[in-house]
Amino acid sequence: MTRLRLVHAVLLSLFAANTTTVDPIRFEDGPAPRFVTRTGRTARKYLPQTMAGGVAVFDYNNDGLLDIYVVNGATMPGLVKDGPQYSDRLFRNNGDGTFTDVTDTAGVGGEGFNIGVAIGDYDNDGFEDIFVAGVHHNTLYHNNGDGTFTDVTERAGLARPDPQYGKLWAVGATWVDYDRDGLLDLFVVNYVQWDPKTEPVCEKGGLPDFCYPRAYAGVPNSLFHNNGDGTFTDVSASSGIRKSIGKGMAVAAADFDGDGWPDLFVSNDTLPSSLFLNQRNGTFKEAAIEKGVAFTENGAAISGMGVDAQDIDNDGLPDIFETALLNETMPLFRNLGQVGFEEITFASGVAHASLAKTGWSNGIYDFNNDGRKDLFAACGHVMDAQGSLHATVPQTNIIFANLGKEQFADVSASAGVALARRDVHRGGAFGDLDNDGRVDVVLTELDGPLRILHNVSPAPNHWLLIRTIGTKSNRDGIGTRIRLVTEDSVQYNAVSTSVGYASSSDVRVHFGLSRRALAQELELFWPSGTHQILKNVKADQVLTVREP
Amino acid sequence: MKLQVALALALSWLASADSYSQSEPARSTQNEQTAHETAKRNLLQALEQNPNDKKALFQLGQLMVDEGDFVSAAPLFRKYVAISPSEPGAWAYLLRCAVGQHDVREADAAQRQIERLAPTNVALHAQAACWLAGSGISEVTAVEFELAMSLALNQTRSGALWYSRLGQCYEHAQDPNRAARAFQAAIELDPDTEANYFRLAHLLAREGKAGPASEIMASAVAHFPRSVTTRVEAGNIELEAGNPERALEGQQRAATLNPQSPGVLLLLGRIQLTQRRYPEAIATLEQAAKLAPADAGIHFYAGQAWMKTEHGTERALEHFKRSLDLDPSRASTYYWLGSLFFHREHDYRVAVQYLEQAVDRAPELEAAHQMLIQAYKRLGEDAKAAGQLRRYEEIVQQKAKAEAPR
Repeated sequence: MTRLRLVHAVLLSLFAANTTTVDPIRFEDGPAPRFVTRTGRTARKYLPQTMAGGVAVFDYNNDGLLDIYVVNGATMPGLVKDGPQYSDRLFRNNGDGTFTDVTDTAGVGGEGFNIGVAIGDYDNDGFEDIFVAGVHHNTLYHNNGDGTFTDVTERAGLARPDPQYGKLWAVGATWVDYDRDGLLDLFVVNYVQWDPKTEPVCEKGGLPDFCYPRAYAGVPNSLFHNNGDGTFTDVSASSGIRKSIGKGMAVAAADFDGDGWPDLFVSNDTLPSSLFLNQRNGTFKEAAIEKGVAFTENGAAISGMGVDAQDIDNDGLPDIFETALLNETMPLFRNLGQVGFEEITFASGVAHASLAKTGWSNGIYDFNNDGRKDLFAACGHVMDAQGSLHATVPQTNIIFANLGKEQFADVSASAGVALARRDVHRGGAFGDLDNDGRVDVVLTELDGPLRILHNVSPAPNHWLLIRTIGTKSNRDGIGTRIRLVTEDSVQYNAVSTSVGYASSSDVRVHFGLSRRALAQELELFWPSGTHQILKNVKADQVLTVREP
Repeated sequence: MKLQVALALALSWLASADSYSQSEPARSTQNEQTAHETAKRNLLQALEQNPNDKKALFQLGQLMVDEGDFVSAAPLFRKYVAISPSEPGAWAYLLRCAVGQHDVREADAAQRQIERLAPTNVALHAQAACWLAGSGISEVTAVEFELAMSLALNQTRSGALWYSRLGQCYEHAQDPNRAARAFQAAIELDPDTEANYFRLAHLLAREGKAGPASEIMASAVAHFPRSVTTRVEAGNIELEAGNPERALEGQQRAATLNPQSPGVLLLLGRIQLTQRRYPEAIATLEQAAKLAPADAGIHFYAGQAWMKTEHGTERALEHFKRSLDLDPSRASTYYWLGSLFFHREHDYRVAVQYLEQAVDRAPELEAAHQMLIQAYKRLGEDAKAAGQLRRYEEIVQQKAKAEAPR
């Protein structure tokens, strides 16, 4: 027995985490608007009930403060919002740490069982619009610029059922100008073929629980081209997107191959991930196998959940951070350029800490402003919180600090008591809610309250927030790549609101500048092809950059 | 002759009865290939001398079918049935050729002839249904499968073999509903063969039907209460269905029968792997490997467990290599070795060697294609990377073609 313990002790030592000095990352649970993500709990389990929780942070009224929009579930299996408890909610940021519920005035309470949200100014009028992805029902809200929104789904041509699959279940979306015509197009992530009438009955440990994804057939994703007149054309087939059948969970838009055109990475649940490379002619080529991101090193298709794509090693190429199910690790793919991607999940130190978690929304942000982007994942088991696995369903979130040289350390334990809280987390949106230069996180949890993780990281590091205003490019500047140079570092970032699972993040680009109070050079590569250079930009400000 | 043909058909089928359960298709040796070529030459000579030589027509057709050359084989069998239209075995081979060429009309005609000439020949109908599995010739497949299934009612215990085989065909063709029905028929005909319970339960578990899979294994356990194998397999099924806790219950019951059984320890190690109890998994699997040093599966999972540790690459390598020595047919072992050399050792040259073996053995192993393409690129062998990508894309296209409704 003693010998066995000794063997175990020796083996356990093999799992000890690396410890390296890094500027601390700290979060506190900040005051959050009163909101509960309702899943329409039932004794029998319906798959959408474990998938809810999209959240967005965006400035809907252009007052310079990030507001919060949260989508919500509905009755099940009816998929009806039969009371205010199921309403999607818009909370206006009052600028003093409080929020006001403006849902009714804004007219964005929504219909049906909604899952995800994507923010973008599709008509270039200077006001952010809202796309809501839902079960058999999507919604496009046009921002009227006066604090109200209009449901324009039908008029925009986004209400039509799929010709082959009928009404699709969408879980998320991204706004991306794939043809670089200055108008944001819409890529919608569709999950599985699902009908409450044919929902299989599954159990776990003798109790009803959610069925595995393999019980459902996959579907293609959708791509809608913005016609510039308030309408969209479904180009899923002609663009080649429709050829790939998946069980989409999330999408990241970035120029993965460095050709100046936006590509798309889609995480799929229990199916290989998809990488759609933009062919610069309105079509995409699926190249996940070719580029080495379809599978992880274990060879199995993981239960891909959330995804973010930003440059973790500042080599100018967007890398991919994906969340996945318990025991699958959270894959980290380093972009090597034309060669493809290299999986560094184990080599980076991310694998061991993430093995014990089921991740949902995630983001690549520099939380301690030290000039290196860190990783955050919202966690919670996929199975039912009332089921046989109830003890393991709520999970703590996880933060990896970037140590440089593609090394990460799990710093969750030292990031404050807010990180020790176990909940069934789902959505997660990232943005600087109080404009203090530190990226906060807004989280949803199933049948639990909205949370704001207020970033209180103590290091006196400098920062820069950049709001891009496109003129020839789309007005949000989505897709703009930014190179920032300080005295001792070069960093890269790109404008995107599509981050994590079902969620939409601050359109402003955040840089941590460590101890440098000046960016010697700021170089912007706009989607239109415009190349812009700003010199000697002072740190610690929200800088608006207009496309020349 | 009629009897001989039917017998030859049945025997050739039985000889390959377990091929789907093997990860590597049987490979012909150089001697076998030479013999094959010689036989073809002789048969062609025989046909030159007598174009209506039935025996030569049939045997040459069989050889062509073995080679997958249905275009050449089909005229031989057409000629055969023109000469001798009442031999169901020849019609069956014609059906095989029609399936190979996706010729719906000829498949339909051949199936009708088999049904007319040998309405109750279970071996023939099971074989025909097997050939049709996954063919995309849906109407003929449905008719032939139902016909084969209808014959189960009149079979004795020995007939279970046909249905077990039929189930494997449809499982291989990713038609789980038909596969499950065939396995169920096999169990009903022969409730004393454990393997049929295992096949059905594995199939159900893979389809996410954990409850029915557990029920099948519960009935197996009730039927074989003293069988460690059945208890272990029940645990394996639970593990496959994503229930490690219930798998552990099964493992513990198996352990009461024989705690030192390597199979019992292997199951425990796999459960511990699933539960991320890596140090324990390593200890358990190392113990199992000591008890059964020649068990390739134990070494395979021990390698996986060591791969989960930060400093376990060397031990993982030892186990994977040992596993490969013991069972060189398992594509997944080549894959893991390739992955180890690719991701941990960054030795892309060696990784390529293993990954090429993996894709040769299991062309459907997409992850191996992905890594092989990447490994070639790391070596600067772009032409090989492009070639491998083309090969992968061809496989995908063939698969899509086979699965497309016709």
